[in-house]
Amino acid sequence: MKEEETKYLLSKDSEEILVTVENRKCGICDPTRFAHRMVILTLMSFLSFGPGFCTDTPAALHDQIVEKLNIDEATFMGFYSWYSWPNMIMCLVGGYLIDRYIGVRLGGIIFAGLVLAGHCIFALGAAVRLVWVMDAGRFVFGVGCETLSIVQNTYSVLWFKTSDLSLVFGLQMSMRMIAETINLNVQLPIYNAITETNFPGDTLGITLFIASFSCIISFTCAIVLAYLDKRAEKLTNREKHDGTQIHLTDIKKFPIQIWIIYVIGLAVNVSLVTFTGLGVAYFEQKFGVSPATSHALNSLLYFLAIPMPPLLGFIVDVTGYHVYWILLAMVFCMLGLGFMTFTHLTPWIGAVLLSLSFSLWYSPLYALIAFIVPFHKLATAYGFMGSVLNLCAAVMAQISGLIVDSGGYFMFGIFVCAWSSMAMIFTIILYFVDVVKDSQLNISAKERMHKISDIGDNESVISDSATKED
Amino acid sequence: MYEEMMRFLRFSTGGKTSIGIFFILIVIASNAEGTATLRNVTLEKIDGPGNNSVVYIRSQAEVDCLHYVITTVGPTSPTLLLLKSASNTSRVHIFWDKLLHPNSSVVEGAVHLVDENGKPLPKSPKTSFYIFDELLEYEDLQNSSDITDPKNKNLTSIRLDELSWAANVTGFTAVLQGTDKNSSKFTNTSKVELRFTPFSTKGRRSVLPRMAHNELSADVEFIVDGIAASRPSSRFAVMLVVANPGNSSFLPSVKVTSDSVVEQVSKRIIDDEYAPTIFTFGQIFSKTKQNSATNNFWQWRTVCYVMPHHTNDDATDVKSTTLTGNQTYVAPALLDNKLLQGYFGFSNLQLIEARATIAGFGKEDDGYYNATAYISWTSLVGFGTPPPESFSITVISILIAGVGIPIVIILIGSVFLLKRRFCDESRIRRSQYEPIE
Repeated sequence: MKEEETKYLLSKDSEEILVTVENRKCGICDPTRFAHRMVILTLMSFLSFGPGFCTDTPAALHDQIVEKLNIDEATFMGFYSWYSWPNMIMCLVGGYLIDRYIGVRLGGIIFAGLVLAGHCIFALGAAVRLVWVMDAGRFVFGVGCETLSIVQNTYSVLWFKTSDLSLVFGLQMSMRMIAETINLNVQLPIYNAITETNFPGDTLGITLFIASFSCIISFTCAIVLAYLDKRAEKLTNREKHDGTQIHLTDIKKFPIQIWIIYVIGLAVNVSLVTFTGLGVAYFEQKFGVSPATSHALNSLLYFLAIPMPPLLGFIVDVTGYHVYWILLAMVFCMLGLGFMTFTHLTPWIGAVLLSLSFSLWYSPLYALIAFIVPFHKLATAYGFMGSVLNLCAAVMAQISGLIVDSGGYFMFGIFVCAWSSMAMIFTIILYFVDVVKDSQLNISAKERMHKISDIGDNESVISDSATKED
Repeated sequence: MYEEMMRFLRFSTGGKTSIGIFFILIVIASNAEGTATLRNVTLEKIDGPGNNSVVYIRSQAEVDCLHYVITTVGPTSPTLLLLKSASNTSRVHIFWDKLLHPNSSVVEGAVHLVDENGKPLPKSPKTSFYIFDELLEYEDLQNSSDITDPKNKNLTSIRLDELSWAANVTGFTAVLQGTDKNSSKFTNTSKVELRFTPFSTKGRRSVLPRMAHNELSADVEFIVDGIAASRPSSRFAVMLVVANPGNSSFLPSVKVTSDSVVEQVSKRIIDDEYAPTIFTFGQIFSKTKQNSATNNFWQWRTVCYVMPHHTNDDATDVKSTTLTGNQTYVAPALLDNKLLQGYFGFSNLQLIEARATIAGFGKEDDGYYNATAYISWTSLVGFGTPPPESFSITVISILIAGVGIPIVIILIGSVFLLKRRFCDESRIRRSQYEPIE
């Protein structure tokens, strides 16, 4: 045995899995060790820092943008439209590209680069006062933004499928919320500080360029992640995935459980996101609370979405039984919406329940996708989910406005309750389908550990025969 | 064992289905209308000498007769008198000579109920009246639309008995229109208007605020149109005087007792599908005693509209003050009121405990009154308790589906899994038996 090589036993099972590392003493350099995985986790989390920080930059600087560019509200909302539309398609296209052609490492670098470039173009457009340049920047930003979350999801499964997957998904959600919260709180002070110092140049452009540092962080993380993942692949002799195994039409052959999961995700996302989109007016009108309380209620969901998702994700990882946890999230959602819509009890009850539901539904649902779909099709699967969620959220935002105008808040409450009920129905269907087909989605954490070590990390729990081409 | 289980499941499923259908029928039957009350509603304008007239709405059923008497004769502020008689042939009769007599003590008896032969009937113990007494204007310096805010100043009033009123009946709506050619606040087209529309059936208006009504109620729309505001930040309000004088023996010589009650309630509802974003009703109930049944009600959604064609975009708030018995407000409305003198008697009017509330129109940042110079406030007035608001069929269907489908799926799925488990167990047991030979 060469001095620089050290072999050691990875698994305590009877079958030995040998790993070769260059320097076993450096735990942080060992891809199989906890310290290294924490580094990966940190880098993965910061992948979403740039997108999270810059997505709501227009909202944080709304008054300044409208005043400096002398635009109306419709043009301002165009910044969000140009960001949203590519999101609907790029999730699926980006996921497929990652699976088929470019792989997750190169995909991460490309899409993080697009995020950085897009925001810089947006900042440049603001500096030169050209709205079309800003729209183009938001478009490029949108192309990279959600696809970067697909990259994140894929990296998460690659590194954490054996354990802590829900915790990792929860951390990603949490980091996104942290980035958005920081953005809403620091952008305006930065703008004001630059104004006061009379820094030469356009204040708005400079502020937006400063915001692009968050995208630089994400881009750097993408590069480092790519390097470390490549290194780990070599050191651990990880199986390389052949992109030719995936075709876009393979989506049609996904197992029924995946389609049920798509419907669940769609339904609960519609009900939660469109409800919280109502804003402060609902609480003031319905419950007669003050504007300050109304803002607090509206913010509670995002405030709790910082600590709760990783905590709940950890609990899901420790206990397993993912379908039960998703069912619990649906129960919270229905109860919360029910309290809000059908009672005049204090809105805090409904807000807390909805916040719990919002923090709980994402991690186990996304983890289940990783357990069902083989790794070489995973980015496509996540991409399809992302596209569906974004498309429906955008459509529902328009519909919800129409419903409130014509039928009032109660009819809107009934509408989101119906969606929430649909999510509950499909979760129950998922449970029964899982039992009948014995796809073992709803097993304890210990059983899942055994399962994954039996069949291999990167294969699906469900027999891959259902997804193979004839 | 399996066959027995299957027989049980078939029976219980069938049984459950039958019980379920029966339950649904019971629910439908219990929610269905009781015996429909057919009421014959007439609306007429009774003309008197000069330009005086009384609008009279009569709602006749088999067991009783309801009377709404509306007038500004006097001149007096627009007054609505509600009478209920156990005689279904009763009518209101007006002695114009008495009614228009300048001596208030002579006017008593000018308005009373008579039967089909013209014989006077005893006074109804369940009587209420409502007076639109004053139109108030104040300067909303705080932009709070709160007339009681001491920082809002320059409160002025237009007494509605000082306007010139004209009554018209078109179709099933009576319109009282008040103008003042001598006031600088009134142009040729400015007016204060009251529109009364009685109902003969249950239903819901198609016009916002789309309140539910029944056959015992009438719609009252109060309109301010084109009156000049004194200041850019002026808002308007109207003072409504309410009373429920009633006693079992109501003879002219007997004093009016004061155990009748007028109470104001703010009712919150969960359903705003008919008037989006409006979740509150204001209600004034008239009762004989504190805990007795309601004789009459006055109800409104806390919304008014600033354009003649009511839309959600033209909605603004109605904020009402708590009822006050302050005689400064109440006495002028009552004592000079010819209709009330004619029905109750001048001496009795001083003993009636009336209450006043002020309904203010507008909310912050709505542009004040001058944005459109128009206010339309709709109320529902009637006998008994207000008609209940109920969910629409759409809502009920969604609720049933939303709650019922998950329950049904759980039941069906559980039964299916149990059946599957029994089948598997029995198959396993059968496979454990080996043939003898």
